[in-house]
Amino acid sequence: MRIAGKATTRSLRTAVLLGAGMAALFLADGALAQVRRLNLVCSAQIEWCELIQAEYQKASGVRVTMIHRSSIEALALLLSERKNPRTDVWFGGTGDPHLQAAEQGLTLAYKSRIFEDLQPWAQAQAERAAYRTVGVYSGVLGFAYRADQLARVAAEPPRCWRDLVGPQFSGQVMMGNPGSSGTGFLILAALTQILGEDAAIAYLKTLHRNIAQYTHGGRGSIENVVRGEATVAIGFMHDAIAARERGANLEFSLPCEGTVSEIGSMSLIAGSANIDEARLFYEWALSSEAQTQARKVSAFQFPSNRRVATESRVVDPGLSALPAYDHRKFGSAEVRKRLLGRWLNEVNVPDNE
Amino acid sequence: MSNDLAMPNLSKLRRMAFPMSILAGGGFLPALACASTGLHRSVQDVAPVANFDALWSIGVAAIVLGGLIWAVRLLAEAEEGGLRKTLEVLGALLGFFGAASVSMSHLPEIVGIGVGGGAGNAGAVGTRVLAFPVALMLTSLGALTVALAWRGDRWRISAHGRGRYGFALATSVWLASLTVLVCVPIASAWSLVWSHGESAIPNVLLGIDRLLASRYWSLKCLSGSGSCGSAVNSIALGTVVASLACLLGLSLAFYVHRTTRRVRKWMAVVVCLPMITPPFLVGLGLSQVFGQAGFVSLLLEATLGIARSRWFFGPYGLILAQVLVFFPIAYFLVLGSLDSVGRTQIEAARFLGASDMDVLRSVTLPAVRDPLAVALLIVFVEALSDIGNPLVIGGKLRVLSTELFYSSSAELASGEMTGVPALLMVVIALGMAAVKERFSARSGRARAAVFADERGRCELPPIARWGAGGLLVACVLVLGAVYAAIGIGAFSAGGVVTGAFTLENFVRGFGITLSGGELSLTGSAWDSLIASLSCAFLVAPVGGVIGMAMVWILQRGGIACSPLVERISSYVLSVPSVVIGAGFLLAFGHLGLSTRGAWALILLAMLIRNLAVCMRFGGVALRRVDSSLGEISGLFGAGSLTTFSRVIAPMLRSTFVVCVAYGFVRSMTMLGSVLLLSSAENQVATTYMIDRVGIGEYGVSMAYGVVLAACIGSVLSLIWMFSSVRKNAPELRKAIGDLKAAVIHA
Repeated sequence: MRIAGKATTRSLRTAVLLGAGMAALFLADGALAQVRRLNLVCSAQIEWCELIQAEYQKASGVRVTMIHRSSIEALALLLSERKNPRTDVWFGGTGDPHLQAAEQGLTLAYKSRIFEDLQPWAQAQAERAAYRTVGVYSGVLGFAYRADQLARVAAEPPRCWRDLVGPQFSGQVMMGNPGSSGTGFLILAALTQILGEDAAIAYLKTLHRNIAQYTHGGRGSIENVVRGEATVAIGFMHDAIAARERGANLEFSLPCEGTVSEIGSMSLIAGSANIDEARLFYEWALSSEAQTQARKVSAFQFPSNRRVATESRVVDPGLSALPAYDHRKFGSAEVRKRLLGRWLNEVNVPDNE
Repeated sequence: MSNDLAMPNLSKLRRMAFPMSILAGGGFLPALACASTGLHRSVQDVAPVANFDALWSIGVAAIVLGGLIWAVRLLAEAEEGGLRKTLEVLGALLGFFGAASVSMSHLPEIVGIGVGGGAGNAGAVGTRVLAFPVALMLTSLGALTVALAWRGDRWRISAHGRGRYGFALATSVWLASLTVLVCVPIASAWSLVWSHGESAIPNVLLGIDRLLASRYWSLKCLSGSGSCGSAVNSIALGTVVASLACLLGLSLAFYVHRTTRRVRKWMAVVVCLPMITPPFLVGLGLSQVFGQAGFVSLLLEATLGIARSRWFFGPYGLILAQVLVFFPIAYFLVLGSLDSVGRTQIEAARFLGASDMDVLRSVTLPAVRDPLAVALLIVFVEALSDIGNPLVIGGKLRVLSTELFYSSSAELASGEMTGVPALLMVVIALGMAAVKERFSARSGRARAAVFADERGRCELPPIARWGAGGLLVACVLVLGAVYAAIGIGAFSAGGVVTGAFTLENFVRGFGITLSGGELSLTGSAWDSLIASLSCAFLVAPVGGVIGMAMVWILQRGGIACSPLVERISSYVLSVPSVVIGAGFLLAFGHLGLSTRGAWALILLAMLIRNLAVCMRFGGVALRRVDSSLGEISGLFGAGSLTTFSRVIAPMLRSTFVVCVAYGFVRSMTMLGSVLLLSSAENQVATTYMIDRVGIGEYGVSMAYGVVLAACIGSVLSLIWMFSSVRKNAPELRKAIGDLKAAVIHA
């Protein structure tokens, strides 16, 4: 009798515990549903993404969940959830994947109320995509290196693309993986623009032997150079300037054969659950206040809002004489697929090592 | 009577039945696939289908094969637990798998219609396309249940007679869920290998061509004119890592076996460290020690003038990291078998005049041979499916797991790029599991025979002993350096050991602000940490309960073919977790994942990882429980559920506690399958960390590693305190002993 009683108490207790757990889950679920929410995929540098998350949360009271993904992974994410989008806004990252998302109808056409305040290149980016995306910043592609590391491998600072394939840089160059990072693809596209497609692939095949690693995101390669794991990184100048602001002994140069600039973009996701919140965020992110704040975290991209005060540390993509990068061409799915396919099957293959 | 007369013919047929049915199925398949293409086309015209036509063909093939087996079984005689039963179960399972695959291959188009308007039409097409597979699924399930419950005899009055149908139903549901959750996603990944444009007919030649592409199998690194393909790299890496890890584990075990209790205890702590932190954390720490900018490299350059280089990033570093992460498996296994060598055995050998070397050769080494072989295979598969380390320190090295990851995460994901690595990994893992099954069965028998004896001392020759001691010191030093690098890196700027002291890493990840009396978590890592903790808390007990209950049903439930079911489950559960993640993404991603759906998949992926260990663990523990207890309880009129909850479960309580603790750790540190399923709202600790490492944010990642280790440590000690207050400690120790065995066999 006693034993039976004990067992009953025990099962009763278990039942109560289980019930309480379930109730807690449902309550938490209900509480979460009440809050205004915004799901953000962010492809700019992580500090900026975190700043945006915190600042917008503070300014609007919306609960922002953010995931950081390199721009191509972000595109893959949006593609995989296209039936039932879990994302509301995609902020930052090179413009080509944004254009491709627009081409595939993943993003929503929307014209900002302050569209006239934007730089011409930001407006042009929006017009290319029938207003399914818009430029928020711009950055220039170049080389970043550490002088002390160069001295160690007895190399001159790289000035041109062709310098990088020299034997002194064997296993010392890093760039983003074109398959996973927008920066990596931009390098591929830039070389195609400057040298022509076949010459670009041939160049990358030679460069492949000097590559230490294709990093997951474009910025990873610059961080590795800062740390001393590699000597030269091909990446965005604003990332290099930001690293210098943090006290890294980093120098940078623009390649003599020419380079291109990216247009970091922002898109609203078609069919998202919180579309009104997303529009509010969109306006906020284009405002000069929001874009000025970026400098707090050393995001030295060139802002797209014309009202943002200029600063000496920011490289203006319009001032440096850059060859016209064909955004429409390299943003198209077909060209992109062909270039990536060639890189994957001709450059990054066992036979080429 | 007539049955007896027909015996000679039938026994011959019985031997031939299985290969024959496979052959017949193989020949029959393409014909049927061709015939049914017409029907399939007409459906396809209604809605464009994703690349899953080949999955449809695989499904049809499985249905036909299942039907054939079901027919062939009639030729076999009906003996208990015999071939006929096996064929029935296999046939029903294949039928279920086929039907599930067919309906899965149709799901995208049905959902597609549902989303794209014309809702009225969607229902009609849905029923037309799905009615047959769903009906077949139910039929197969029923057939499976009956086959499992009906043992060919009359209802026997036994302790379990009453519950048998219930058990059979539970087992069939178990098998069915394994099929839907593991086999079908993997089949959908495979189907991409054979898919060819829009055609539903699997293109075998093209598939073989893809499987043998030089991307995977190139051997150019041997001739020095290039590098090797990813499959070659994976296999070579696995082999080297497995041999080195076993060698290290063996030497350490031999050394520790002879030392004092205190050394043993400390070694257990040191060796457990790599098991309770995410594997790639070890790689990250090592890169801070031996990388081009690592402090050992800097030290060597400053003192000895050895130029720093990137030797670490690539095969060498990967081997080092994986050996350090996986050698504990070999260590625990060998130590266990050394401890089980009986004292009398050694003394008898000495009495007969054997020298130290003779004892080593004829007593000790044979005792560790089989466990060592098992460890070799386990480490091989673990190294094969590890994805964190190749991503963090792999450099340019291509292995199968990273190929699978890049092809599924990049938008370039053309089907075969995902399918081929998945197929290769599954084939290798299952092959290893089959070989392991044989070895572990043998080692289990050998161990049981000498277990009762007092522990003997296995000696090594002095030189080898010194060598083993040296290895132990080196291993402890390197592990210490790795964890020191992570611990110090967490508190320095940029995660560099030489950087200035800062709390910035923790503030960014785990910042808390107090504004106006309200506490808010401003750190960006809180969400993922809370998610990870809740997932692990949810999954660990559920996995424990399901695993133990299933083991109990299989061992004591009195259903037919339980060894077969157990074997099938263990094979299915041994699929590498990266492949499960990729399969989930392929099979269910097309349906459009909601946030909750993605969480469900992440939970499922974690559950599947835990079930394998829990089932083995429960099996080991249950063997110690006297089977007569359950029967007596049944004779007194208790139902099977009552018997389980009142008699069996209390005896397994400490086993359960240890199992839950292990499941918790496993879920917290798991990366492989979760990596592909995460998005903005679905982050867990490991995916957050690997993302930060990917963009060079080592500091935050290391800070997270410290927090994660603290969380796991405190939860484990809470579990330990909570359970040792109520239960006596020896029982828990015994349970932990069982766990070692279970981890190793799972």
